[in-house]
Amino acid sequence: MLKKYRFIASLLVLSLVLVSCASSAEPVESVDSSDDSEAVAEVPAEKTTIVFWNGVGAPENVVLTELVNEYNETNQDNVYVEEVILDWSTLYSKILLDFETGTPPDIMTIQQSGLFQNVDLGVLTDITDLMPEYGFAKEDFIESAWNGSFIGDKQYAVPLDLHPLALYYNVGLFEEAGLDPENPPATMEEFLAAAQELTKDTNGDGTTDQYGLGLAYSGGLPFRLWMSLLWQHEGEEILSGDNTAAAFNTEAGLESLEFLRDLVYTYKVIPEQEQSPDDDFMKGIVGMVISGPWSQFDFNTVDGLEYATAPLPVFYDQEAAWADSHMLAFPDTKDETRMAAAMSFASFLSDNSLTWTQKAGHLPVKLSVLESTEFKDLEKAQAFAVTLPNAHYYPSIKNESLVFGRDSNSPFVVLMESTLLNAMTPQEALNEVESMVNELLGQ
Amino acid sequence: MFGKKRINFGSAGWFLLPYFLIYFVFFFLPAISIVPMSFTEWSIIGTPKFIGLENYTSIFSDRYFVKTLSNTFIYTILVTVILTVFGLLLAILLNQKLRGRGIARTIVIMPYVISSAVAGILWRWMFERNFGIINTYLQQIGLPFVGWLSDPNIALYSIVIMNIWWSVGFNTVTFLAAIQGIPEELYQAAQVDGASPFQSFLYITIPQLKPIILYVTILCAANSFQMFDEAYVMTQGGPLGSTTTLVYKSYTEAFKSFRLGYSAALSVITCAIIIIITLVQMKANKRNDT
Repeated sequence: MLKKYRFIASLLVLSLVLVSCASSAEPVESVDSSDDSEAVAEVPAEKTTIVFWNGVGAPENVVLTELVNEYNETNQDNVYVEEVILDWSTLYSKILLDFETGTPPDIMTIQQSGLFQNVDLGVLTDITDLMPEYGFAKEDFIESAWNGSFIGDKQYAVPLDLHPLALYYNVGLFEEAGLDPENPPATMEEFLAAAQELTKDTNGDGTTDQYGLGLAYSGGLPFRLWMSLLWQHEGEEILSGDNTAAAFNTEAGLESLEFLRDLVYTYKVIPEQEQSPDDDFMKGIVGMVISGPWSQFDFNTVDGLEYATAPLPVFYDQEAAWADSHMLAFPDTKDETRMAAAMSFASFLSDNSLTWTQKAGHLPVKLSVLESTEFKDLEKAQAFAVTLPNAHYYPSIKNESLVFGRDSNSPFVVLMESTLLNAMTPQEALNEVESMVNELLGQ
Repeated sequence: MFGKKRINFGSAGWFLLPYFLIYFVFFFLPAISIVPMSFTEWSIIGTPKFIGLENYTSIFSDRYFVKTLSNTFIYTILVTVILTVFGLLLAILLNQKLRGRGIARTIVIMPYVISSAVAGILWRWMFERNFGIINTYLQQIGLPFVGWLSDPNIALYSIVIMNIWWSVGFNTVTFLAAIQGIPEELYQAAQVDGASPFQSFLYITIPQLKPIILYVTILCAANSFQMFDEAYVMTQGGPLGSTTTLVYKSYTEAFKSFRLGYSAALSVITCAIIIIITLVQMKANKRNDT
């Protein structure tokens, strides 16, 4: 009896060990010898298989997947792309782990704002010399996007798109409120008037149930909007010229912050403690929302939601809006064949950025696409296109994830939460966050 | 424990071996390695740099550490006390010979079957301040909106509520099993001696359940001290850091800020506190025994 037990148990142990060995014995380049029989059938031995990390997150990531499939079916480069779908925060932590263990992907999506940090950590390949070989040239791109792919005088990424903030508005609610949907608000006065018209008690129970604007109290969007307002003041910046100290604790910074607080507490055109403005916009609870082009993807899925876009109103001296850019970067795999394959794939994505724009909403950065009639036909994209020349990135710094983080303890989240939840006066919040940022920049 | 039946220990050992191998390689070794890691500065990339106690000193001077610590303690104490008391009461109730007892038992354990992340998302929607179902009902009976997850003074308690709904069933089932294990004769004898139901509860049920109560409180305290999923899903540690717990902070420090050493030091502190809490609980239990 006992012997039998021991036999079964040792079999169990043995099988376990075998299983774990089998999985760990797989070669590092397991992608080449994938045990997925279908994939093997599609990939003849001489094809170069590369791994692509798609980190743009739901829901737009499905569009990139479509492009990957299209490339795999049609490319003449003899390349097969194996896609791994991640979200941004997983991508940024996983890339460090995988780079350290020697198994990074060959190509991955990255945000312009995350570029410096990853270059600083030594993860990314310098592609300055490779770019011309694959037909990438400065004159084909929007200048700000092209420049954004450089750290110092070296280029580390292929810009894929730009996504600045703009104003979305609900056409039906505009008409109901007696506003002209053809003439969306463009100045502070027009914006306030529209927001106040849209704010009302629709069922007569004495409480407001429709608001002018949706603005969350937390996350990245509120502080991106505040930064946009700051940049709309001439000569104002978030950090000082050499990005070593906070420069936002000024009259302009205060005025912009007070304005946002007043929208909630004085004009009462934003729901207090709002959590999900995009959802509220889709439900028709808020008439306007400020967001990037990515929101279109969700908005388009709502039956009966008729909306339009307009450039971010000019609240102060000049046009300006926060923007970030999706790019393609190449972790240093030290394998020239796969690097070449990755560049070919990048060039396919860049050439097909119109599909990306049409389906995911993000603005193209290639001038040929921007000037194409197909792009000009995309009505809702035009508001974002107008903003492109005045789009501002975050200042480029190496500890971007600390300073411009979107976590509860990140400085600018603290700034907006303290203000929009009325826990501090705007001036107190600015002072507090100025010292936090200076502390982080000093590290 | 195994002394008398040495033979069985042999075969049990073999069956346990796979578990302990996995435990050792994937849990114990990584867990122990955070101790040396906590004395270094490391961003995953490159070699960790030894910096002595610097991580610990900077944790104690961090402007949010005290708040994080107090959040964690408030949460742990509330969850442990409420879950234990409430779980016990529910177990006693469900032990009565009532109609529909089977259904009631199923309903109580049901939430625990779903994952905490799903429960968190569910409650995030219900707690939504302006348009969530809870506030909608409150409004209908004339009460003002409550910022369940958006008011820094309330958010932590909302997570406590969610957690109790989600996990009270587990404690209830544990207590129920233990209650059913108490010999019926004890109650019969007490009845003969003229004890009231409340006296029976106080002098029979409670003493008999003592080991289980200890088990439940230790488990609750250790689990809730490591609260992460709920905060991650429902509030992301906010608003204003009011739901940031030690483990949540360890996570953001490691995987958002890439300060592995700092995060490891936080984990060491968390671990030390859990060990102390557990020892105190066991000691208190022993003292009651004598």
